[in-house]
Amino acid sequence: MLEVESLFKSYPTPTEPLAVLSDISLTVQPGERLVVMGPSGSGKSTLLAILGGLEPPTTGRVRLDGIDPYQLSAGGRAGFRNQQIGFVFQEHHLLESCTAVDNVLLPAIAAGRVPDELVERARDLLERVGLGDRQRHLPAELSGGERQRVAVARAAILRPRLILADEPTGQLDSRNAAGVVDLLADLVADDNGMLVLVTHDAAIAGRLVGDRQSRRLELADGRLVS
Amino acid sequence: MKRKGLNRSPAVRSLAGVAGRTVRRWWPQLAAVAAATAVITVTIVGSLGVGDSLQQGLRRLAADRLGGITAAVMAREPFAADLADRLARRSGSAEAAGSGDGRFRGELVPAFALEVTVERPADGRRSRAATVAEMLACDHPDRLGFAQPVPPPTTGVAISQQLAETLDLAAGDPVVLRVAERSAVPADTPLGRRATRSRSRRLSVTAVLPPGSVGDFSLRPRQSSGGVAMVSLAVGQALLDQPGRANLILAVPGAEGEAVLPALRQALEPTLADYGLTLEPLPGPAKRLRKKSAAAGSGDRQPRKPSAFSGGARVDLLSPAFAGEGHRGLFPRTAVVRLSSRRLLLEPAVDRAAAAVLGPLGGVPSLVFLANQIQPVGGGAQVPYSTVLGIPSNTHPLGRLVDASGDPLPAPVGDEVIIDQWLADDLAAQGRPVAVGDVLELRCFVAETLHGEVAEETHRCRVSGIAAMQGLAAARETVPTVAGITDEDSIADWDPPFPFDRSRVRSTPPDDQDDQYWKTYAATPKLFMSLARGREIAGSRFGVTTTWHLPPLPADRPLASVASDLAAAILPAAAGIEVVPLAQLAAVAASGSTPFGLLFLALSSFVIGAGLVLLWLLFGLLVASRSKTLGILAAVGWNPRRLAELLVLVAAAAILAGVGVGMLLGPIWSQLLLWRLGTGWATSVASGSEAVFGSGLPGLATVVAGAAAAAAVATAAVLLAAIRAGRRSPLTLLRAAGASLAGRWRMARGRRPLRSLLGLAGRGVAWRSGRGLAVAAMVGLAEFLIVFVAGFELTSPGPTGRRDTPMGGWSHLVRFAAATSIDPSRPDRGLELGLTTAQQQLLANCEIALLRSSRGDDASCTNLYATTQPLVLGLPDRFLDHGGFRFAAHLPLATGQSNPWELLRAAAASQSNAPVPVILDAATAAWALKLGGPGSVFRLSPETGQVEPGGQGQDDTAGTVCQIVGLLEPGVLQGAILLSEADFVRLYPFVSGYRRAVVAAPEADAADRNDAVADALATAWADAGATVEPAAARLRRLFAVQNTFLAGFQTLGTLGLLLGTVGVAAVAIQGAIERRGSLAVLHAIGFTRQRLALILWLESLLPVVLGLVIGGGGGLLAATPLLQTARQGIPWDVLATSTASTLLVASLAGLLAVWLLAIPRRPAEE
Repeated sequence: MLEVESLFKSYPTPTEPLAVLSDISLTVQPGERLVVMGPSGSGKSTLLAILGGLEPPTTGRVRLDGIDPYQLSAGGRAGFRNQQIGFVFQEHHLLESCTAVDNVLLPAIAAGRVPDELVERARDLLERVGLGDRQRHLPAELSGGERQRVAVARAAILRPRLILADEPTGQLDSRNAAGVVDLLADLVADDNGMLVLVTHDAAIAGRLVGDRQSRRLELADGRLVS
Repeated sequence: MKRKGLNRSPAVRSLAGVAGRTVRRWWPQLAAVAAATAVITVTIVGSLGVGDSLQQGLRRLAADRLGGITAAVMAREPFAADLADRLARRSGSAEAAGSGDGRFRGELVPAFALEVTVERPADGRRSRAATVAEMLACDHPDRLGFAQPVPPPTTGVAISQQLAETLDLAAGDPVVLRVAERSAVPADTPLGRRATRSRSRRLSVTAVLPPGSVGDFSLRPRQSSGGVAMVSLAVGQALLDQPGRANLILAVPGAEGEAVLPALRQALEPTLADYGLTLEPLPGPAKRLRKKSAAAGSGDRQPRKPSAFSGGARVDLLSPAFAGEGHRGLFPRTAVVRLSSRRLLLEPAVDRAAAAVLGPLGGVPSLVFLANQIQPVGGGAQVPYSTVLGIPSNTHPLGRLVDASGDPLPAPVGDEVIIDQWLADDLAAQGRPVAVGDVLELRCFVAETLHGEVAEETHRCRVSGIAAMQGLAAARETVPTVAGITDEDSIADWDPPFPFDRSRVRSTPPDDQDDQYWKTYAATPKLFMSLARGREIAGSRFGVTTTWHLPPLPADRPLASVASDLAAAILPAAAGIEVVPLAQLAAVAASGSTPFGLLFLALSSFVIGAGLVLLWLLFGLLVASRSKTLGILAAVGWNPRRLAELLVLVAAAAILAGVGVGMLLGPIWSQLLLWRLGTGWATSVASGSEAVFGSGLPGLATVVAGAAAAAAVATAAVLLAAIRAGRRSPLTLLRAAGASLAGRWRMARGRRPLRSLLGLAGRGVAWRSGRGLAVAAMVGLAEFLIVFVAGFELTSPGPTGRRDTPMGGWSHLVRFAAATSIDPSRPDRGLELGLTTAQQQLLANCEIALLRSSRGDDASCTNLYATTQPLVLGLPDRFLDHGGFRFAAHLPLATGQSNPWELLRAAAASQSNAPVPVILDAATAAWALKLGGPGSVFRLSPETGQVEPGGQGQDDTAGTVCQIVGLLEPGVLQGAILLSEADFVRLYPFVSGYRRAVVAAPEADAADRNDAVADALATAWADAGATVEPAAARLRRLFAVQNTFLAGFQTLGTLGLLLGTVGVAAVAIQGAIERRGSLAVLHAIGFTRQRLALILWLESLLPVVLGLVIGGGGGLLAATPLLQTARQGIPWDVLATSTASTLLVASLAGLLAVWLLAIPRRPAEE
């Protein structure tokens, strides 16, 4: 379970601290999918970075299955991110030098040498995202949607408890966007994981929030408004 | 303010304007490009500067050695010192010069210059010490044009600073100058002195000559002086027992640019006396009898025949008085005239001139030699030590051979001989009368001695007549003066240089027949044969004639004119007197034995290559980082050419700045290289050499040329990169994607999925393969240079006893100031040489080979000067039998042969017009003399000593064609052309005696034994001015040269590695900058910063490892033939050190570059 308590985040400025997030509290249950919506600058990406252990909050606590990543050392936090969290960004951020399957395996490499079963899983994931025949293609040889699907497979390779997706469809057309969102939902469901997806696209949000496993939150000026 | 400034700046209207703005914005990366250009410039300018500075140093040193001397008249044998005055008169006159312009107005200073042994006698404080130095005997050192004039010497000796330091001498100290006694008669003839005697003189040091003075004097350009001892000409003449003579006239021009050589060559007209020749009217029989009876009446010894060089009754044949009335009173017009030489045998050049001038005047050549014994076949009677005369006919100016009735006897032909009545009577008295038709046996010395050993051989001849004791049979003037023989009163008083058995001479009454003959007829021959037969027996390379006799001259042909004509007909150079252009030779030599500038440039090419790769890399990184800017320009319509022009213009600014910096730093780099070379050279090779290396900065022309070359190559490298960048599509540039996918290595795709960090790093390297290869190339080039060069490093000389080593099994090398023939290993010579019993035993166990030697220069790498006259050594059979040394290559051996030295002997025995086989070391053949490999031919001129590559189709007079039959690996004989002794004596008939020796001492590896042998050798050969050097020491000096250069080249390799390291850092930084987003993603998905750094570090290191493997492996591969032939091990130490240090430095550079960059926490921060 993901627990967020009284989260505040501000950045220092020459005059006064700039509050980005204020008093955010929420929980996400296993198997649950949370869609966070809000206009640009509302603090969505910052919230996701804090949830992902990338950026510590100014105050407040984040716990994933009882573990507060900010209580861990830098190395411990990296391992936490590696094992517990999968990231999908607006830009795919695939390594241009690596093939599709290589990119999927990157989180495994961070943990050490890749065992055979993970290679098989990477291949399965690529099959599942519809890129079974493009495994040895370089990112430059894939379309935008395909690249993002590789990124989704990369996020799921180590069966993380939580997948954080930051505008994952921002650069995709509607058809590709729907495919990616469905894929994320399916992968999370497979492992009874959690998904937090940030978007400002109502259609995408609507696609996910269609069942009882999904919730939607609105963020405005750093505060949860619904 | 800033906005205000921007508003004021004018609008950009041209490409140059855009370039200017761009330079200002891109300056940090352009500074890196400038730095790379500076490195290239520094390397090129520095390398050329080494050669330039070194040449300057050699030129300056050569000039210092000569002062203002530009030429010299030099002679093989001393000449009359007043030749300088005569030369001055003639060369200064318009008549001699042909026109007023060609007159010589400078100084002509007669001198003696030769090597002497300088000894510091033992005193209460110090033991005896000695060294070989150059003695300059000269009365006017202040006229020789040295920067620091010194006053003329008086009775003492002034010594150079180096000599003072070597022997720890100061003004007032006593020294002994020792010089080998000179023998005019060639030592290799039976009548030549082989056992060297020395003359010495104790003098007081009057001054220590300061640097820049005549103390720097040397006739030959050399980097370090052995020291100079300067005495007055009179002291030198007294020491050498050569009163009134000199062996050198030093010419100092009166004005700069004065044409010295033509003036001197035209004016050089040596007299017969200068050549050591005497053309004298002989006293008639009446006068002789008067002299003899007067001498007998007074009880005095018969006065010695006046020497041509000691004044006495002899007159200057060129003197006008000689041809005038005054002379007529001294010598009757009817006198027979005789031409003879101090050296006994007339040189071939003189003989040819005599035939041309004296022949038409009725001159008759003859050859006198000694028969040790004349006896009838079967023995029973013998006559010892008789002279034999070879004559071309029975018509001789001194008379004819007539029988008892006064009728002329037919001239002997073939093996016929005419004996005189005295000999016939003596043999009859001994019970073996001989008659016409009987056969006699003559035991004579072999015409030429080898290794100081005189040998006898027996010749048979048939008596064709018996001459009455009158006419030619009683003419003692047929025999020229031979000191120690013809000037003795009794045959028992002879002091000959050959083995003389007094017991065989009948000199005690009543059996005093030989002495009686001597007293009556002196050295008059007892046996006469044809000149041709005589020459077969006693002719040699030194000559085939002892005298020419002329009948009384006609009244209209004064003797002076004959003498003058004869002197003029002798080619001075052929007779050993020549004008030597010392300054010109020094200038040629100063071009250096090795083109150091080009050598360093060639080896620096690795560094320059690495610098160019770095430049290309940095510029490529610059273009990559500014790709979007270029994409915008391309998108708005700039065509590829325009884009390339912009990039070149921008880069040109950086290149210009780099070249400017390089021009400033290049000379400093050359000085650093020179300093390193000079230090190594002075320490290990020849002290005093640092003066050559410590010369001034390279000339401006060299710096500008180097800078221009650097600018050209740098611009070319940038131009290629600029054209390549300009051709990219606007979209590619805008995406900052670098090159198109088509250009990527397929390796990046990978065959199997990634499983490790190393694999991930490998993908990164392969993705930017151009950069990786650039780094690998830089490191590889440097590593190649370091490892390859290390393969040349020479270390161990090997044990002395083994023959297949660079020492050839010889333990000591000896050089003599004066030629000698003494072999101190012979047991019978020990006491005579002043050796202790222990020393005699020590040397008796040594193998000694005496080597003949030309007066050439050492062409080995220890001599920085270019060798125009290389040293030629004649190797005796003993040496050839000994064999040894390592051959790099040689011509095929005959079946059954295994000793390549046999190639010298085998070929020497072949036909005389075949090329002379020679062996020399591979380095000298390839670099110093540029003669080629086995089978190559070249011409060697024994007269001038010069060597010229190629031998076919050239003027036959240019020298003897020689063929290289073998090339030696580096060894103690490096720097000399080696041929068999048989060929040497054929090529160098005018060189007599042995000037070098090699010694093989048993157990010489033991230091104390080695020293004991060296001491014994020095003692045995003290009179010859021997310099004994352990072979291992010589080898160490030779090795040190090569290793000193290698150290310099390895410095260049290290510089290359430094460039590679810079490349590593640049690539790492650029890679990290370009992939900040990707790194952030990796960070996000769980890569710690350390692991990210590890990836980047591995990416940095992989090209370095690749470069090390390729460069190191390539270096080893290239050095393999050398390692095999030199039997040296792989330089693991160098390999390990360079690899480890490169990895360490590259690691640090890569890590530092990565660590300095902040890896963003999340991709959004990219």
